[in-house]
Amino acid sequence: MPVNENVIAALKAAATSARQPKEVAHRLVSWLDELEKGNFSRGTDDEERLIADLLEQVVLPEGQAALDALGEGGDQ
Amino acid sequence: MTDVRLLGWSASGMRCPDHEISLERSAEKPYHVSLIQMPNGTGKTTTLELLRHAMSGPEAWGDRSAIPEFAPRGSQGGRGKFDVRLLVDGRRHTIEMTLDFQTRRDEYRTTLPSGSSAGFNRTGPLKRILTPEFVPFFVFDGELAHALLDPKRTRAREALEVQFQLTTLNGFRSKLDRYWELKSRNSTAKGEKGVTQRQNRLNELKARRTKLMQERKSLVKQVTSATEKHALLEAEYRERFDQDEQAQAERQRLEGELGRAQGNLESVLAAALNDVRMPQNLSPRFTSGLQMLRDSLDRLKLPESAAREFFEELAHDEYCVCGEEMTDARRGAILKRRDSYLGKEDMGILNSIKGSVKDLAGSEASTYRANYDKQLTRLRDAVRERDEFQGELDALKARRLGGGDAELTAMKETLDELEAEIGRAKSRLEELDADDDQFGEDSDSIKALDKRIKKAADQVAEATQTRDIRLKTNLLKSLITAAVEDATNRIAGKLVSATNKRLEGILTRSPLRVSDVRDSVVLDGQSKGSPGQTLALGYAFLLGLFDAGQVSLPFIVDSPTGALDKNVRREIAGLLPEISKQLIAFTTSSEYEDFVPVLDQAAKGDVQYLTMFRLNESTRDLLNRVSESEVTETSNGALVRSKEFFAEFDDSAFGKGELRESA
Amino acid sequence: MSFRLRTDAEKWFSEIADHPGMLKFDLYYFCLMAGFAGIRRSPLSGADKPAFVDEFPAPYKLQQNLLLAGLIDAELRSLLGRGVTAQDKPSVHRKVSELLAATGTSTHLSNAGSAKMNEYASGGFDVLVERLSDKPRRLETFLRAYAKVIADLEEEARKAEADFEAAE
Repeated sequence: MPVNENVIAALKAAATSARQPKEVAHRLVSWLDELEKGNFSRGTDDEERLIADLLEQVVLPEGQAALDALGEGGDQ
Repeated sequence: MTDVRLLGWSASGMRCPDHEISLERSAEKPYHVSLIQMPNGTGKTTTLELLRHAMSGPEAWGDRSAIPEFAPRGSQGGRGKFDVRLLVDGRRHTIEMTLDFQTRRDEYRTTLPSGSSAGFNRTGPLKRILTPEFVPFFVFDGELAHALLDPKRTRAREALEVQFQLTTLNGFRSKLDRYWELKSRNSTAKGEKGVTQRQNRLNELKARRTKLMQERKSLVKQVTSATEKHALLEAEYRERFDQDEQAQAERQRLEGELGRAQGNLESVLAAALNDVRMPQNLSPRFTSGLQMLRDSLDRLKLPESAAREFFEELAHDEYCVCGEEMTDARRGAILKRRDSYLGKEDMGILNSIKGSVKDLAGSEASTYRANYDKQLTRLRDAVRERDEFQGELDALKARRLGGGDAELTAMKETLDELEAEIGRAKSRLEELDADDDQFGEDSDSIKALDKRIKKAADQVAEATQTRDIRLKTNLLKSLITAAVEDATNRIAGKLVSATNKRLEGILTRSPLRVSDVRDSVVLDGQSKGSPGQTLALGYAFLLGLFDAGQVSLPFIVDSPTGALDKNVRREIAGLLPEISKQLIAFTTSSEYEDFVPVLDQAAKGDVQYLTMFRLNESTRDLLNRVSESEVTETSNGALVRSKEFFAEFDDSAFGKGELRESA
Repeated sequence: MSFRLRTDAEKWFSEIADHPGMLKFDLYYFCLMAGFAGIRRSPLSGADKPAFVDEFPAPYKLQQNLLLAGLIDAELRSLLGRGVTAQDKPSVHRKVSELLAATGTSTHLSNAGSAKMNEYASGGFDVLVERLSDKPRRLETFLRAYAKVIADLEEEARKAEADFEAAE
């Protein structure tokens, strides 16, 4: 069963809203699809690479204010 | 669309009668509707529960305390078997479940076209469907309809989230967090502050470097111009100095002598340097030590005339030098001896050392130093001579200066100042140009600073990367949250419309409608529907859920219209065949009226009628009414496939004098 | 690994090091002979610079064996505490094998031998700093002062030995 069309539409909309390239939504959909098919039984290495590639696609906003808005989260 | 059909099941050794049910009209084509009539006490509930367990997998058994309850009445141990035959997208999928009542264990086996293997194995979409949470949606539990409406529970949302992978999507958020934790584990600066701090440090270092480079530039300029000035001034000074003719002649004579004395000193010094490099010249004690060492080596007969290699080779020969055959004992002894001898090459060095001692330091130890001392005396005299002339020259210069020539004095002062200035500048340049090792934080070595700048730049890059990962994961997490919210709303919205549309069809006279699907199904207006309405709503919702989830499932329901009034019953009967491409309903004889005939018509006659009951003396008579081909008997049960039998069967007449078993 | 000169020693000799004809190995040699005369060793640290040369330079080729012998002699004295006698053969044998290496190096010093020699040089530098108040400014004055230091060290060693013998 492929990923539900409503989920795909929601991901695309969320990506656009967050000013991210379509590729980001596309990869999230693929990830869901892969999990559905059971392709990640091989272990976490594949997933780590997938996340690294996904993060590559993410575009950070310009400007300190926008970056600050994203928040620190892990600041020690 | 994933298509799942139930082809049939079989039970043996369980609490219900042994039976085998086939739902197929023709090979791998089930009836649209299969009705199964079982009187109370026949184990209807047991059968339904076994169906649920078989399709939910081992997880549903929990602590397995319930397993003995499925054993046949009156028996303790033994094993029971329940098989379910499915058709998934046209491929057979059989689940065999064995229960051991003694040990309270469950065993599953899965058979696919590819083969049979132990365990409860599901792939692809079955992973979401054949779960304890989802199975009750299609092996319908009447309780579920109520649960869907209960705002204190979250069954509707759960159904949505699992079906549409929203749970999975949400799960990405913690996967992203874990990823960040993994990547930042060894980092000490994880956020914006860390990056800024490090960037500031880098900028500080760079600023310092710029400053030092500027200083260097100006120092170089300074040295150049001061040196030029010095040379020019020195020439002038000389000129002026020589204006005194007598002083000039004297100066020239003295400079000549000084030059000669300096030259002499240099050659004596060179000779002394050569001599000092010979250790025997420097130290009589050292020399006699060498001689004594040589004597000792001779006395100890070191090096020996034989070498290790000799023993080594000997040990590998067949015969010893003495002519006897080589044995292991002899070999061992020889090898032991070998270790106390030097190798050939070591011997060579030792001999060479002894030779050098003899050649270079063979005479009486003190003679060498005595000669060197003479050379040192010559050196002393040459130094003295040079210093004397230097002294005289300096005195001359001082006299000349002291002669009251103010300008000459002033020039001399300036020359001295220039020399000092040049000295200071050169010294500072040395510091700036120093090599990059072993310097602390305060060092002004530009090379060392460059190294630290590089390190700081690397640190900035590392912190930036770590920070960026955090920011990106935060961004993605928000994105996912927004998407899940959005998707939920869209799907909920569609479900609400679909459900309401169907409700309009069923409950024409009631205004019961759905307004939203949140944690539970939220009704419009009324807060509660009648039992019949609730049931209808449950069916309508599920239909919408299956449709939207792109899965076509068999719908197995127990007493589908039990508590409903006549009219609603008829309406449901008309609706039920639409809920699924395959409907299996367990009914009681009291439900027949206003339901079964309507259902038959709605299903266009594609209906199978099955009646199952326990076989014993009194029930055996019932079989007289049917032909053999319509009956399947097991040791304790009978299954009749006949529409007429079904219609005439009165289960309320059953059980007279029978053991009433809880259903 | 071969000859290592302490960083502070290099700095101390800096004013005479540039004199025409002077080699870095000369500085090493001055320290080494002072170490032998003063019977002083001290280890080098990781902060000290690595080897500056791996073989004896040309002006020292002739007498390199004497320096090897000097090392062996110093080490044997240290090991035995006195002159060598007949029963010392195995110890001598072992010490020689330990300090020398036939192959792999033109110095004929093993790694252990090189390290030991460097320790004498390091200790010798400590001695020179103790004995000479000022860092050397001119080669011609230094050579004389240096010869005196060596002579003084020898005298002290001789006296110490005599006292020891007398006490026995």
